[in-house]
Amino acid sequence: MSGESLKGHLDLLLLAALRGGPAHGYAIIEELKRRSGGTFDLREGTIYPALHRLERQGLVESQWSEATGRRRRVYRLTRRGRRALGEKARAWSSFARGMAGALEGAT
Amino acid sequence: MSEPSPAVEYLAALNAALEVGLRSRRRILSEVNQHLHDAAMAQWTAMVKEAERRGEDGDSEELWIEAQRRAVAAFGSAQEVAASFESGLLGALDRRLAVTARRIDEWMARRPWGGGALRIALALAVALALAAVSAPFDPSASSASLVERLLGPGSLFLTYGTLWALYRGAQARALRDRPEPGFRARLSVGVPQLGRLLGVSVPEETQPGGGFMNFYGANLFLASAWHFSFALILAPGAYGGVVLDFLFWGFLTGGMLLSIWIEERAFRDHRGKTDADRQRAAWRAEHPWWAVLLLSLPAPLALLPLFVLSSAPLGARLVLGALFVAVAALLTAGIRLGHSQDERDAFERRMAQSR
Repeated sequence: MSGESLKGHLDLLLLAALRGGPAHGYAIIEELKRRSGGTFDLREGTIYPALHRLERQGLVESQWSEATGRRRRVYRLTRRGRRALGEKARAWSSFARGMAGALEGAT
Repeated sequence: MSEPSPAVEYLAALNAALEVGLRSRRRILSEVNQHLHDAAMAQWTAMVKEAERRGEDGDSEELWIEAQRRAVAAFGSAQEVAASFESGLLGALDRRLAVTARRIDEWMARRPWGGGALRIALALAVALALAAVSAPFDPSASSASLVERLLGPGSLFLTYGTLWALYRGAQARALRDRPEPGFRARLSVGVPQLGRLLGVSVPEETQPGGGFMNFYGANLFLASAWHFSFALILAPGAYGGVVLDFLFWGFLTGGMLLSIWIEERAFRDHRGKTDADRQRAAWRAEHPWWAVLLLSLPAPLALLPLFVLSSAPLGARLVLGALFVAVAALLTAGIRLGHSQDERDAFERRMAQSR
């Protein structure tokens, strides 16, 4: 799936990737690749602006953390972020069910 | 000097393209730097395994450079990534100032004396603003007035002026030994933090240490040393002078910072020499001593408080001031003209290759 198709869903994907616990940008991308089985082909640079935007919206928070001598910005979901993830995931499921119904038999 | 790596090149391009405030800029560059390192490491590990499987040497520098190239390619173009970040208020201000800086740069390209004139105009603006703000305070309580009362008329030049000349001399000496031909590049090397702010990328391994060489930090340091040496120790009751001193030096430092920022911002935007730079450089190459004279004109800015606050007769102040301007001219010549044309050409070629 191209980055363009993912544009509208990037926030949901990032929130979902952080559901398992705090992670830095590179680890989030790796987690998304792993979970999607390599389906999502997004430019890695696009996730940082999205993470910054989510932080401004109060859906994630971040802080510098030092592990194995390297300083990294680690992101975690806020309470608001968890709520938003639930809402967006429900909306997506409903959308996906609708699409699946509409496309039944087309593939 | 070694070639900048693909990751360093990318960070410099991203820095030039970002339109965000300074704090966000630092955070973004730091995060992207970390990301590129992690991604390159992952690429490199896979490439080493692959090379070893083929029976080739998996420990070459070319492999690491290629790993960085792939990490950069996967990240996306610097312009696209930079455009995805929201500017915010500071970013919008930064962009607005960048447009102004470009206009000033174009204006200066048509007028070789533009840089000196700009700094002098700013100095006058700073002096006027300073006069307005410091009007409620008594100038005779300032440390500058105190030192002249204690050590005699004109002593201000010999005390602060000597400190200032020593600072400029130390700066010139540190910058002379650098291979970079331009004052901006050398200044940025001498002050790595300023270099990062201006987007001049200098490989870390070639950067000298040098917190003390901080251009504006040193001015504030001198101001503090000045005051604590004379005003607080010799006249501990003169607290009105503390406010006046710090207003004075704070304004001067701000004015210098602003002038440097405006002139240098264009450099950061273009990540290299602009047409304006080239035209100015050509003019300076043809008229080296005129260039030194013009470039030294801003020196009186640093001496402005001495002119205003000294109790020496006007003629003596002018002579002493001219003496320090001459020192500044010699030091400027040392910084700006201390390299052969061959060295400059070699540096230009390296810059062109890295772009």
